[in-house]
Amino acid sequence: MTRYRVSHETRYHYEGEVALGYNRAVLRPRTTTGQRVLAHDLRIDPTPAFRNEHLDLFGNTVTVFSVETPHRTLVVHAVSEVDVRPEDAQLDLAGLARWEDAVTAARQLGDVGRAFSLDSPLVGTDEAFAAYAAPSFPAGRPLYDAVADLTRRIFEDFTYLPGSTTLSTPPLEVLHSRTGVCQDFAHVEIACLRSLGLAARYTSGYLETSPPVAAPRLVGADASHAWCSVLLPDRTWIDLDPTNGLIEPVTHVTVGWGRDYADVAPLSGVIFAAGVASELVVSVDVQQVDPPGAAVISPGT
Amino acid sequence: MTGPDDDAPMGTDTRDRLRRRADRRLRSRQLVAAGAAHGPAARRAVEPAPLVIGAATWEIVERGLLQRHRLLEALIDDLYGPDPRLIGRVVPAEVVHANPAFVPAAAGWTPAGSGRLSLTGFDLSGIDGGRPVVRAVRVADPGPLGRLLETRTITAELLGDRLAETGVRPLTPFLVGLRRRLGTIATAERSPRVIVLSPGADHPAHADLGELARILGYTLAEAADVTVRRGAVHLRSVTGLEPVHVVLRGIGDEAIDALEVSPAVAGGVPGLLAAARARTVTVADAIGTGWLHSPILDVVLPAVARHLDADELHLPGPRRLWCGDDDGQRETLARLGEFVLEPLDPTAPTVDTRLVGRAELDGLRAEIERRPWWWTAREPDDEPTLRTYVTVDSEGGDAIVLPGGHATLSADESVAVDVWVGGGGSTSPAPTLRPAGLGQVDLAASLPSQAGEALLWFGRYLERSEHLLRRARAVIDLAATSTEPLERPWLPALLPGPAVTLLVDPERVDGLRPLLDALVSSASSVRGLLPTDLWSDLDRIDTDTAELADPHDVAAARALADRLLAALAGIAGTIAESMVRDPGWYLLDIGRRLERALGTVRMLEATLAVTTDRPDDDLLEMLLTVVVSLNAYRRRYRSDLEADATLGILLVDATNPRSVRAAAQAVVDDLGRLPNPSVSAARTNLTAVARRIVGTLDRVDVPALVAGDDTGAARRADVLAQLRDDLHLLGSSTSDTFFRHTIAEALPSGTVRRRARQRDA
Repeated sequence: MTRYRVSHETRYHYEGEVALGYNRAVLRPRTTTGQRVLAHDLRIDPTPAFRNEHLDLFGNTVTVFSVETPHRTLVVHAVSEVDVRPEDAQLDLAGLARWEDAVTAARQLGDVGRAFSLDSPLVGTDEAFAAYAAPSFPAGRPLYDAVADLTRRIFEDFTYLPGSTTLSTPPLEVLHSRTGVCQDFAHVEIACLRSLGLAARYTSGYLETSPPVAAPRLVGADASHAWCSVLLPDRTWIDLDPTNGLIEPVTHVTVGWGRDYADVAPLSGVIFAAGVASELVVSVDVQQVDPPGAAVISPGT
Repeated sequence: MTGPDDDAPMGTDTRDRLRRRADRRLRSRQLVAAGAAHGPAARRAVEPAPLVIGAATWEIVERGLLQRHRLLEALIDDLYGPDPRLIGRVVPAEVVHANPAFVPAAAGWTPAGSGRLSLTGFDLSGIDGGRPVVRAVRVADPGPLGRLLETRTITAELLGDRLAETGVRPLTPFLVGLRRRLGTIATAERSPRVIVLSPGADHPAHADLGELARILGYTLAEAADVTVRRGAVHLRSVTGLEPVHVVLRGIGDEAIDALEVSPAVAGGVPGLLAAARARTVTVADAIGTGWLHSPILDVVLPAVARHLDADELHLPGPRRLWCGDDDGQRETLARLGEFVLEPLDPTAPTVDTRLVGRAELDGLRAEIERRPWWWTAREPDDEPTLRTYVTVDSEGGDAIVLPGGHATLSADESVAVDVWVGGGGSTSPAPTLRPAGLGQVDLAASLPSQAGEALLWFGRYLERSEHLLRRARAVIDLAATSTEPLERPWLPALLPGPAVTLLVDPERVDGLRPLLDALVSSASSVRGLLPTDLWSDLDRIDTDTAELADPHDVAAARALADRLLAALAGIAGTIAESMVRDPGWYLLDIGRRLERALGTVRMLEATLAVTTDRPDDDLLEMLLTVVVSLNAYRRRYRSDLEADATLGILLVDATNPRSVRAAAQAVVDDLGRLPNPSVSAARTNLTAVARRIVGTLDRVDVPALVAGDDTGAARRADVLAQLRDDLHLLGSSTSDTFFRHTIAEALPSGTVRRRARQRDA
């Protein structure tokens, strides 16, 4: 088990005064089979006049708030402490089943789960995605091997290039340009999986960068991250991180999941101002902290 | 059913006569601008002969709609409820969760008020043949109800005594029920404030929603008038924020709330869903009910009827195939060139496969095979439809079907026809409403900001139009007295072009036409707040200028100016005599006075600037004529026209209602009578500017302004420039104080992302 302290701060600087701002935040890590949330605090400055938390359709905690005093800076700072237990989320035999069985399982998902194998607002299926994914999915191949191969290919074929895409760049364009950021690669892989009939969801969260020994840790060197998950025939999910070419990453902290980025955008909103330009600075820091009593746990377990 | 093509019991002549009368009534009741804001399609007509449906046919319709309404409520409540039982069993999960018409943020919780549907529209066809078919369900669309009520009132006025013989089922019980429901669905509020939410004054439905608001006694508000504070909905009125408890909305899910529902669309009311979730407001119809617009409803609802009622639908819908179902897909592909394809998303484009080429058909076939669940298919059908509504009498009460409805006869929906249900025994089908049994609230001081602004601008355009008309007419008259072409150094400063051209050329941007269009358009957006008498004068203006005269026909232009000035005087009279002195009136008056003062100051500034020495007699007479002060001058002074006396009358004479001094004093008085805006500091500032203008005029040494040397010209220029600046400041500060505008923008979202390479990956 690893314990992380996550600090995720978003700062908006406005050139002029903003009279009124409404926001939606998805920043509270959720409890999963492999992850336990020990503490979470969401600090907002200026203090919101209204603040309300609810669970969305996918089980994520969503905070809606409004700042109603004139302001030039908005700071939203989420601090969480999370235990990640990869041993609880180990691959079971379902991953060894033929990938076609997972397609059948995807069709049988009722209710909102059905959305994970169909088009969503930001991710449309297309033959181009099916064609790109095809070499990884020969008939009868075990699902685990197929998705590992696809994840590795996206990792190798695509170039990570911040600024090459925006939030509104369609995944199909990313497929052609082969450049983007983590959110784009997650969308591309989701589109590939869904175009084959598999169920895939978008996950937002964080990962820890292992600092070189003795080098000072740089606060803000990390960032909020995104990856995807695929449904196994036994209706459990495994995580795939095409940005890092990882399958079942063990150091990822999950915040929430949905059909695509729009469902779990860390922070979105509407401001009322007379044409005010804004600047956005995000800093994320994910640090390992020693769990209480760590000394008695022998290393290497 | 008797229709307009059936000549008994009304002869063709009678009908033509009635049609003309209907046209006049409609136009005098509601003038719709022919100007740029609305376009020619906004012109409307009413067919005077109503369609009458027999009681027996209507009974079938009524029974069928009540059943459908009950099933729709059960269905939508299940889909959005905390524990959906129909999805995946009776309703395929795809058609809900892969359908953009479904609003995930509205799911999993229950809004206040019992039931998500308050006013459900149904479009029916085939009533003529006695085989009614329900073509569509329309939620959050109360506009046609407003138009229906207006059509009904006009038809009833025209047909008066004929009704006694027919006996028509009245609309009043439906309206009473609707109002009772809206009055009882708010949480914890005994005397709830209800508003009708309009998509905006430039939207075609705005006038209809205004009519509905007027009849029901609610405030009509635009999205920009509505704001969410501390999780509760408020109306931005000219005096501050007022709590709102129920929103009867004319804005669909696709544009209602940029925060959680429709992020791609600016506008709407950000935070409205959050307020509904916090149960501080009830939105009628609830956010998310727009899913019912999806064509898949035709496939789903019969299954829901069988599942919940073990019964068939009493009224059929159109036959529709869903390609997500094997049989549906097979038939759609087999007969592809015969169907209209409609996707799950009701806002996505449809495809009439009869009109597409072979290659495109093959593309469609592949698309359907790839995403079968996305497509539905139905037989083409262009039958005219009748719109009627179902409401629920109070919270948890019985559903009521509106007896009759509203139909349109032309393709552009401009000709409305009233649809009556016979056998009601009522002789007065026109709706009458007594106040509902709710606590009385005095809303006299309440005026939504957008409406207040429209009234202020109505006043300004009124005065601006009059000023141009008077200048043009005076120049035409002056030219008539001279034999050679009129030439004066100050003439170009007085009028930017030839007088006749400015009056009759619709293309002149500095001419009369744009002013009158803006006048009518600002009035249209606040129809409900203006006296009905005003509309006949506005209509005269609109009709007169619609048939513009020949640019060479001076006499015709002169006559047009006379007629228009008479109409404007009529409007001024109506404003003075028939309007309650509420905040709206004061704002309108401020607009007029401000513009009048500005018009005079600008005119003096421009014409005197080109006159270095003493102004000539023609100019003085011209100035006095334009400001309607020539008689005042002649009565007061026996002398010939003197420059100082002229300027005195035009600028500082407190007894001349046309003087700048009188206008500024009127603004000071009006400001004093307006209720306190929430930001009182802003108003203090505003009044100070108006007082400063009065003070400047009281101190001014008029003879010194016309001293026949350079100092006189310089002093004039200084004083007039200061007055102009202060008047402009007064105008902009009035807008800032009472109708502060801020623009909603999406917050730039997203995070800075960096790739974090795992060293050992």
